[in-house]
Amino acid sequence: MKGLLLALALTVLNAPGASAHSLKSLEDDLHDKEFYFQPLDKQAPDFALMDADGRPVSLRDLRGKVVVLHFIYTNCPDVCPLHADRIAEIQEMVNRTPPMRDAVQFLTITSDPIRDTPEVMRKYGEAHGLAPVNWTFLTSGTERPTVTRDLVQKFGHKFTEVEGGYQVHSVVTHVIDREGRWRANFHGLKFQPINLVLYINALVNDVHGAEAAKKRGLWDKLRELF
Amino acid sequence: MNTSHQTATVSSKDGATPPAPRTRRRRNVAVVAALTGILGAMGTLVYFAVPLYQLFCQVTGFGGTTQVAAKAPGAVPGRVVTVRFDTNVARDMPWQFSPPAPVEVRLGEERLVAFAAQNTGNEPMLGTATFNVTPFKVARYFNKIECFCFTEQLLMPGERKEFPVTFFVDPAIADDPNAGDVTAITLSYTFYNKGAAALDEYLNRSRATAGRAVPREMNQ
Repeated sequence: MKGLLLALALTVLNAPGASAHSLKSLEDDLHDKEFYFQPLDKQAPDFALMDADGRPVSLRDLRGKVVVLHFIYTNCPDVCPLHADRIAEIQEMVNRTPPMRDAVQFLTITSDPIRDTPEVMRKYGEAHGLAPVNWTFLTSGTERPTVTRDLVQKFGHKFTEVEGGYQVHSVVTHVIDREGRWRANFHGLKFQPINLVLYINALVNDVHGAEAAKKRGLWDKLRELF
Repeated sequence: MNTSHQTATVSSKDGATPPAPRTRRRRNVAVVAALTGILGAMGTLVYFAVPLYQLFCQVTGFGGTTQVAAKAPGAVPGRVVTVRFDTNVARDMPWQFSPPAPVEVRLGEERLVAFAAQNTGNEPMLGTATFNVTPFKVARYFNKIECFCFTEQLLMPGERKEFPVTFFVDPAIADDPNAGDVTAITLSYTFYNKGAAALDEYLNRSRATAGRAVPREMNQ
């Protein structure tokens, strides 16, 4: 009898949800199941940086794509390489579906533009399995080394430089929607990669939400200031 | 002294007799009860403000909440769109995931199709699916009433299961000049493995649900 009840419980839990495909319902689900998920909804700090070949890249240029962004420095001995590996794992999952690959941009931003020269940056992606098709490593260049450090802080990290060229800042994966709004943080490295992939997919398909964001009125903008 | 004099003067001007102490007490109680009621109503409104606002947003679409279609408007004569289906499976999943055959639908016509997946591995596996609609410019007109995406789906070793999807193409697509050339839409799903930890959690929840049901069964 207990086995029958277990089978019944599995069937009930396994029943497809009729309205389970909206961004809102996914956010509710992640709120319950993903401890490291932090939903947000505010304008993401804009930036104007460049890739390893000196091509300019700004967040504004990426409107229409979901952006997955994180900060590292290549001299980082411990957690940054693991973070890059995690981003590569998520990129591989996202790129499994071609429409997703075209709709998502992964960005790694160095917090150490002096040491992370174009040469170093070019080697880093390959070493961590990051595919250049929708991944870019960005810097503010050696002439403006504080720009990305300021950006790290604008994204809510505390930033400290310690002896030996090491830096201390949090490990967070930021998610920005197609309208340039900062929608979520996934903290640390213990979150389930599939949960980030699901969230990216929901943002890519949140057509009505993106349209509503475009119509955001003066009142909403004023409210954001507080 | 001064106050009592003024009160007496006012009463005298109105020509009203001062109420008896018992009547005054009753009135005071009524006022206190009314004020407590108003305070209670305000407190209740404050407490339920968030869910009420969410309900308002869901009904009206205000504030960017995605409107999940509940019902198709009904077939509109004229334009027919071909809907194709595509399936993908993550690298580490021994699942065979098959799409239904393409269908032709009129705008506004509700259609039910079923995807099918089978676990060809030797272990139970918990999957979850993402979806995409292409061309992307018509995604806003493709409405799913029932969908299995984002939810956890358990397949035991060898088990095969069908996953229904109900959808319709919004007749508003006919008024969009950018979508005038679209004659075919593709709906694709990709299944991912949710992993061992999520599977354990899922099975524990299932056992807990079954465990709670057992005593009730035994009591009967």
